[in-house]
Amino acid sequence: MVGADGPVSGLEYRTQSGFYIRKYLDPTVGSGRRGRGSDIAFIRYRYAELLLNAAEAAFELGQTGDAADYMNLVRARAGLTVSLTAGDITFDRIVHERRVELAFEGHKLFDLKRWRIAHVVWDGSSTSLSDLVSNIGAAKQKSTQPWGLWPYKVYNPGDPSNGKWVFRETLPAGVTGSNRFQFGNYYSLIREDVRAANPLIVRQPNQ
Amino acid sequence: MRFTKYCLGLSLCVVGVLSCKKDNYDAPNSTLSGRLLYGGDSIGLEKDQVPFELYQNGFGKVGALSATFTPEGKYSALLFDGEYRMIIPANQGPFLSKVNGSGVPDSLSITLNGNQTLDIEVTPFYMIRNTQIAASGGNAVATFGLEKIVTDANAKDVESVALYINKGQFVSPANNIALTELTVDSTTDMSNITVSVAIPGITPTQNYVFARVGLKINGVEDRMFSPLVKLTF
Repeated sequence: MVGADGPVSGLEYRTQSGFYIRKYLDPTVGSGRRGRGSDIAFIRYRYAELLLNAAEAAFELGQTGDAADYMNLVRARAGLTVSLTAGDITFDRIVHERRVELAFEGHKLFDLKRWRIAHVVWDGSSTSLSDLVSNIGAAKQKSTQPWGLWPYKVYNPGDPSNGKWVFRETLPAGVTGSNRFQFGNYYSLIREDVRAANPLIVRQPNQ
Repeated sequence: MRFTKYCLGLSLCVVGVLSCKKDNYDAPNSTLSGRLLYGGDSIGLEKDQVPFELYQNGFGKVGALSATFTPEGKYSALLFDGEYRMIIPANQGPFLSKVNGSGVPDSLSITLNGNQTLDIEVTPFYMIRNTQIAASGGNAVATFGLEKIVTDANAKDVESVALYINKGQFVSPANNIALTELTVDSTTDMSNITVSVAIPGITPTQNYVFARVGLKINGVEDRMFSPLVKLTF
């Protein structure tokens, strides 16, 4: 049994992944309507991103201690009490921290392009359940299809599992394609009319 | 209402008067077609992934007539008669790009006058040889060998090979119902590779699948495929 907006595959106005997004939503009634319903601007630059930029730069320069300090500032703000040490800082850790801190803020595409791992993460083949649950936390984990996690609460009085939650990994029925990032996608397209107008402008690599 | 009809009649007359022979071209009716070949053997590709471009000068700005090769490595274009130049853009396809020093693709001049068949010779990095795919006991089993064609400074290593099966004739990493991928390294015997994939249940039931072997070359995006085989079981 699910609620009015609970997970039902393929029905509109219902969550397909089992999740809703609350981040940066303006709670004012009518803020999501057409026109300028909300007077709150999207937050484009954040201090946390600067810290993560600094952490990444420090890591790439081999200063893992500094990187850990920067990242601990971000993590402490989010309420994580276990501090990272210099030995914990790996490339996978940097990638993961940016994913969780900057989720839904439009960074993923540009981050994956910058690290030049987009063609590995979005390789065009479908994501199976074993792909989903393996390599967790790895920067190059395949992520070509959006999987959902549907929560259910068990009602079975007398059974030890009564009142507990089960979570089911689900690939929503609407997901049929899979993301494919080609080498040519690393560069913006210079359109044909631009190149025709000036033959000295050449096309981008791999396009 | 009457006024509207009058306007409509008048505008039709105007269109009739203004039209002349110059605006009314015949549709293009010359077909340029051909195949990608290496030493007489065709090269299998992924659907809609490897492009070719035709250019024609003399009509203002020059833009490409773009199209892609079919999975069998064929191409065709319906064109007006005239002079064309054909290129395959750099770094496309599982073969060596024919480019000059500054990375500009080498072009092929074509004078089209009626239907024409023009096969294009390319130098693939590898060829898939002696492919045999058969169905046995709920599995599709492929045996084949790889021949290294480019051995000079441009040589590339094989990353992996895979056997794909699909319900229909488009068989590729994006379109398949099952695949088995095999990583290839220096210890692999290139002349004799066997890959097997279990054929899953198909709804609605059909007693055949299409299969082909794909080859991924390190640092090359487009895969190369063996000829398509229909397996009946």
